[in-house]
Amino acid sequence: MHDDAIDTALPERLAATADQVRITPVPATTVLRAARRRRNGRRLAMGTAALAAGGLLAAGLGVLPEAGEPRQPTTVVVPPATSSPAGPGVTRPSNAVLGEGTADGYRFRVEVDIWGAAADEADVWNQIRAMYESDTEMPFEVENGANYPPVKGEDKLPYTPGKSWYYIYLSVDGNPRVPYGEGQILTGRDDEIHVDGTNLDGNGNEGPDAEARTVELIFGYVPEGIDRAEITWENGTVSKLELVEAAGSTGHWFTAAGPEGGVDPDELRTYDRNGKPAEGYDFTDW
Amino acid sequence: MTAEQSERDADFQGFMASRWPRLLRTAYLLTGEQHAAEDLAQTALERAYVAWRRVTQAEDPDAYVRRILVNAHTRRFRNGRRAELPNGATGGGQGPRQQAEARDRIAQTDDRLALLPALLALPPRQRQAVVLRYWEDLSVDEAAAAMGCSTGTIKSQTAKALAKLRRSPALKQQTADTGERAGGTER
Repeated sequence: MHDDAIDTALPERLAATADQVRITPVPATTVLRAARRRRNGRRLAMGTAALAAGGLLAAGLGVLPEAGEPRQPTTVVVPPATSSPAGPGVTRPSNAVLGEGTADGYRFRVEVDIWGAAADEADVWNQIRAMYESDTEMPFEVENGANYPPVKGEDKLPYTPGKSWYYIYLSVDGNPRVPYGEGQILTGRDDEIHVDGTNLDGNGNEGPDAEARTVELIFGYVPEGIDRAEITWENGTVSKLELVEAAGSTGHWFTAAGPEGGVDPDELRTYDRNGKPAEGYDFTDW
Repeated sequence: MTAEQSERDADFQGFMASRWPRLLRTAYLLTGEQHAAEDLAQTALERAYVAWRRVTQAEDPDAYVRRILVNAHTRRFRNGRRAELPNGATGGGQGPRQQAEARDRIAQTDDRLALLPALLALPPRQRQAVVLRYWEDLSVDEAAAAMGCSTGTIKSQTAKALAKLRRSPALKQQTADTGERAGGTER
């Protein structure tokens, strides 16, 4: 009875809660000023991209800017031969390091685990059990059963066979890695771009220069057929991406770190092996 | 500034003025804190300005901006900037037994005291689903568009969130108290 009452009263309670916020004056000037900065950054990015297309831009990662020049993206290094030699199994993931670097005085490392595509329903149940036993934080589609982990015979099949699961992890200063993104990818063509990211700002918002040293970290996947990719940042600089292979996926993985100052990504551009632009990703409503 | 830019800014400012209160309330339900809510709503509007052409060309500009707001909230959570509870929102020491003559006002305050901590205890995506469905009054399809996920995910996130809210002791108690008060009024 109380359960029903809670459900019924929820809209009213949310309204009462929302009414507790103080409606401040519309921050028109602040919003417009900040928004113009963002927009100008985008314009600059487009202008710079045109130069890059003409071969006039040297892609310098981690290069200190000359006076008046925008800060360059943070250097990301991919260690050689980081992909685990064994292919991914349904019950044991492959692993590859996507990039390492230093931002705000902290060392970061991005890696991906790929669980091989289940061939049939039995494989799905085995994979779920293996993920659970390895403390893999399962995505909602998997944990959505009455049981955790879902149990064959009691819960419906959480996902269909045929796609690999990927989990992207971030570790800072050698601390245990933390999951920062997950999803499913096809093991062939017709797959899509996957993009995720976070801010690297050390201990958070401490110190007067915290914002100035924040670095935006972007990582993700481009499908098979993409030969080259780059991320443009809102201050007009460009990160040429090192595309990393990882057993269990036919596409490539990448990590990019933006310039200090919390500069947002503007666009992910991709090119096929003939240099022809392919589908990209617009970070506008990121 | 060109005439075109002036016109664009005037349009945007009109939009901003009319949407600010609603955006702020939604942001407050997502963050649980005044300044975080202002910051989130402001960020959403900044991004809306940058994408203003697309916003105005969108079939539903409000839905476009709502999606920007939800995306910004998701990113903040991933960045580890979870909002803290506002002072006094824990409910400790501010029981509804005081000032019985001001029951209506207290009842409204109780709603906030009970609901906000329970809401903030939900995982962000579940919180978003509840806020979009029950505060923004969006359909499952509309909420899915705002969160960039499937309708099935909205349904299951909402169901999980409601199950957790039902288990919240503070909400159960508050519901019981409200029932008693309602009964008392009738007598």
